[in-house]
Amino acid sequence: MSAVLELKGVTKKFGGLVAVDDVSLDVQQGEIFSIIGPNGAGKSTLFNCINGLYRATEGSVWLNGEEITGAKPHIIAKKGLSRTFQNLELFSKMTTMENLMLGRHLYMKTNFWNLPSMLWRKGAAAKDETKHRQKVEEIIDLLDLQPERNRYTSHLPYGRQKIVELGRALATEPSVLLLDEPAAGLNHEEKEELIFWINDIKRLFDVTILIIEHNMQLVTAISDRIMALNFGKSMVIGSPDQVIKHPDVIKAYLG
Amino acid sequence: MLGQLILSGIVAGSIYALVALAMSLTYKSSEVANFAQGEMAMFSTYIAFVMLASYQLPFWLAFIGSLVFAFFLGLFLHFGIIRRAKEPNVLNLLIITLGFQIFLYGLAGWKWGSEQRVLKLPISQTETVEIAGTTISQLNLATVIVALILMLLLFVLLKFTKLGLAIKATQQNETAAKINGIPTNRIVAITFGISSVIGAVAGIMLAPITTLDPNMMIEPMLKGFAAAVLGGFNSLVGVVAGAFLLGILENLFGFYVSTEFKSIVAFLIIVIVLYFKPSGLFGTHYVRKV
Amino acid sequence: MDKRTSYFEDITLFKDRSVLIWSLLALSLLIGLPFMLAGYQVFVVNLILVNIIIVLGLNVLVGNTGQISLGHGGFVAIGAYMTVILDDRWLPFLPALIIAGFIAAIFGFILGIPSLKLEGPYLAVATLGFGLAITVIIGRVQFFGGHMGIMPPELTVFGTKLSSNTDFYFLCLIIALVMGIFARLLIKSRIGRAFSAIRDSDIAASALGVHVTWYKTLSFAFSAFYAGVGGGIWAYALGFISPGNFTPVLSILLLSMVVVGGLGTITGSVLGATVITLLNLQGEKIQELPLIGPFFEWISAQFMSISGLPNINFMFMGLTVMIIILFEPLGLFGLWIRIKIYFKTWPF
Repeated sequence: MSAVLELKGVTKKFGGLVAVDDVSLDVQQGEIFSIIGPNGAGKSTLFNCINGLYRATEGSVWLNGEEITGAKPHIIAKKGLSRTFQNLELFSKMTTMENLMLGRHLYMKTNFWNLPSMLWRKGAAAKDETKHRQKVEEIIDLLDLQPERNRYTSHLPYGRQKIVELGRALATEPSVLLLDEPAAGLNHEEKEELIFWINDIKRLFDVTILIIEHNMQLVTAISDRIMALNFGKSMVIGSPDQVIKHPDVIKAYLG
Repeated sequence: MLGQLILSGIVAGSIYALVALAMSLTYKSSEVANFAQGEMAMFSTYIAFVMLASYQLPFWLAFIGSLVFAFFLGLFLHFGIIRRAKEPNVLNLLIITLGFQIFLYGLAGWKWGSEQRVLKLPISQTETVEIAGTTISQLNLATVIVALILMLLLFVLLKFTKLGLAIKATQQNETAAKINGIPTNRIVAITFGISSVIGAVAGIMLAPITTLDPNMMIEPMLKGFAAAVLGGFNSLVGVVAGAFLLGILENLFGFYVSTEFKSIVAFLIIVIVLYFKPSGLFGTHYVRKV
Repeated sequence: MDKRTSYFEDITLFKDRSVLIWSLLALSLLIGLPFMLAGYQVFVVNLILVNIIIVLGLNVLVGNTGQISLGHGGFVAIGAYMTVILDDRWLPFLPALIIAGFIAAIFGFILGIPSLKLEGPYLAVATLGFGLAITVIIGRVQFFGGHMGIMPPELTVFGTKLSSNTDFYFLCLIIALVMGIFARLLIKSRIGRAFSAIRDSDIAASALGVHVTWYKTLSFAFSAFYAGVGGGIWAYALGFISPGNFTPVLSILLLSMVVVGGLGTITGSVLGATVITLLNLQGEKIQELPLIGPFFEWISAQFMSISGLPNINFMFMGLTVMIIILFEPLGLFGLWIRIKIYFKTWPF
């Protein structure tokens, strides 16, 4: 089994502030890898370093054996990495369908020169649109987004918005999926559904998943391995049992 | 010669600084780039003219009178217009102020016609004063002094008074300010009033130098806006620095290279500066955390 | 609201039979229009069509991609001058127009580069400077005729000479329709979606594989192309162009057309361009209206200056712009939607 995502000594400094300090990890194909830690530990910053939003000050990031440190986010997306955001980065003036269709951006072929072929049903561009809308329907079906299909995402309740963002990341057919606090703001029922969905996603789409989460019930239920982060440093990496019983983790986080 | 150019630049910069301050003040407090600033100043200047010419009032009375008018014009802009906006986002407010600008332009043109008038200040345009080997007319000197006094007053207001604190609080977080008992609507209205007054002073000082007609403030406003951006729209010190810098650069370029292209150079310099400092020379760049 | 039965209906131009019928009716009206109006009125309609073309492009930049441009007059100028010069010396009209459009697009691409780092008032000033620079350069460089301006040659398209306003109208109409349909297709396509994504969250857009740099500059280039083509046609509609046509005031007027019309929509562009152009040109006609004209003249004599009466059209334009944006932030398009909904849900 090969490491699909590898971080080697990744450090991120903002001036004098060291947000991420020499973090190394490797995630195996098909694994669900969780990152836990108190607020401000550097978890989201780590994600930002992975997907190209930030450039790591030191160290390197490897995806499927290829170095992606410092690459632009859209290149990294092209290589098969997708993510959601802690505070939601939905396209608020667009509908759910349009948000999800943007997930298909990389796979679509419409461009300036074949644009006129959108005019008739059998035109290349029109067929491109309809083909990818069908792909998006599969995700809508999986996540039960049918009633919200044509609604503006800014009009949806918070929990549904999170699901839309999850669907959008899925639409890119990633090999690695980064979820930043997917359960935050969800009610109890939705959190339980999320556990099923993540397992379904892993099974149906054959993705490797990294999750940042605070909800320990979720984390222990689905993770294969967990990393605990504190003040930017990795405290321990191991199986759920090992990590939640680790004295440092209990002191810093679980109380 | 160089000194003379720099001095002329400072004079021009004083006008730009006043306009820039006026625009930056309202932007700081309410994210409104007030594009009506120029015509509001122009209108107040006409009011001064009317008081001087038609009613034969003494200058100081006319001056104060027009400033009072300017203040209420600013209040009107906020309460009567901007507050009524159903969706006050930046672009919409910009267009609303633009509409107000066009309206005032038309109103002034209708009321007073488009002939150029002469606004007489009790300060001579021809008598000169010698400073450090360069000559400057009394009027230009007065322009610089008045601008500096106004800037000082504004600085004192913002830093040392309760009102200043309220203005800063409203700008940084309106909801928090409201919760703490600050009447944010009134505060924003007052900032509009103050910036209108500053603009009016700029107009009154400018009119004797150039002319008084409905078009007088259009170019200074655009330049003042550019200067504010050059200095950094959210730093009042930066805005003033940018204005003086712009005035000096324009004059230097106008003499040493060519007068025809001097305004493009100004903008070229601004674009280059913005390339290296996207928030202006002294502005702070807020990066959103995701 | 409307029931759709296939994905194609999401993107097609004619959602159902009634839309097709209304479109055909509108088309027949447009074809018959010049024969129903006086010569000068056709001239005004031509100017409206020119502005529609420009605003279609600008709306994609401002409304869809969320950028701001206070310098679009510059692209109009480039298109106008390049079309005239190319037509005069080397090429027939249509190729000259298209190439001029592409030249404007190249400049648009260049102006897009500062947009990558700037936003809000900073971008506004950068674009303002650009527009101003173009005007000044054209005014001083003799190649472009300097202050005095230049006159386009006789307009011949595919061998036929177009001399009357009506001839010209059909040329403008065809170009406007083609470009309008193209813009509409663009907005609903993957490219338009990428633009909107950049407007709403360029971070997320980037994380989904959208090449933000490329699309932002592309948006500027696209809108510049439209402005250039509009400018090229404008030169022939006016019969004469000089630097004075392309001041920052033009850029500001164009931006107003976009916002007043309705951001990000084709209908909005058409409505905004029509209304503002009419106000701008016909506002002076206020004095000629039956009751209102003498009324304003009376007020002029009493309180205002008589010579300044023509300025009243500025007052009306300013008022209209303010009132529309104050009470209908979605612009004229928003008003149009309200009217449609009112009739759809009548009598409730």
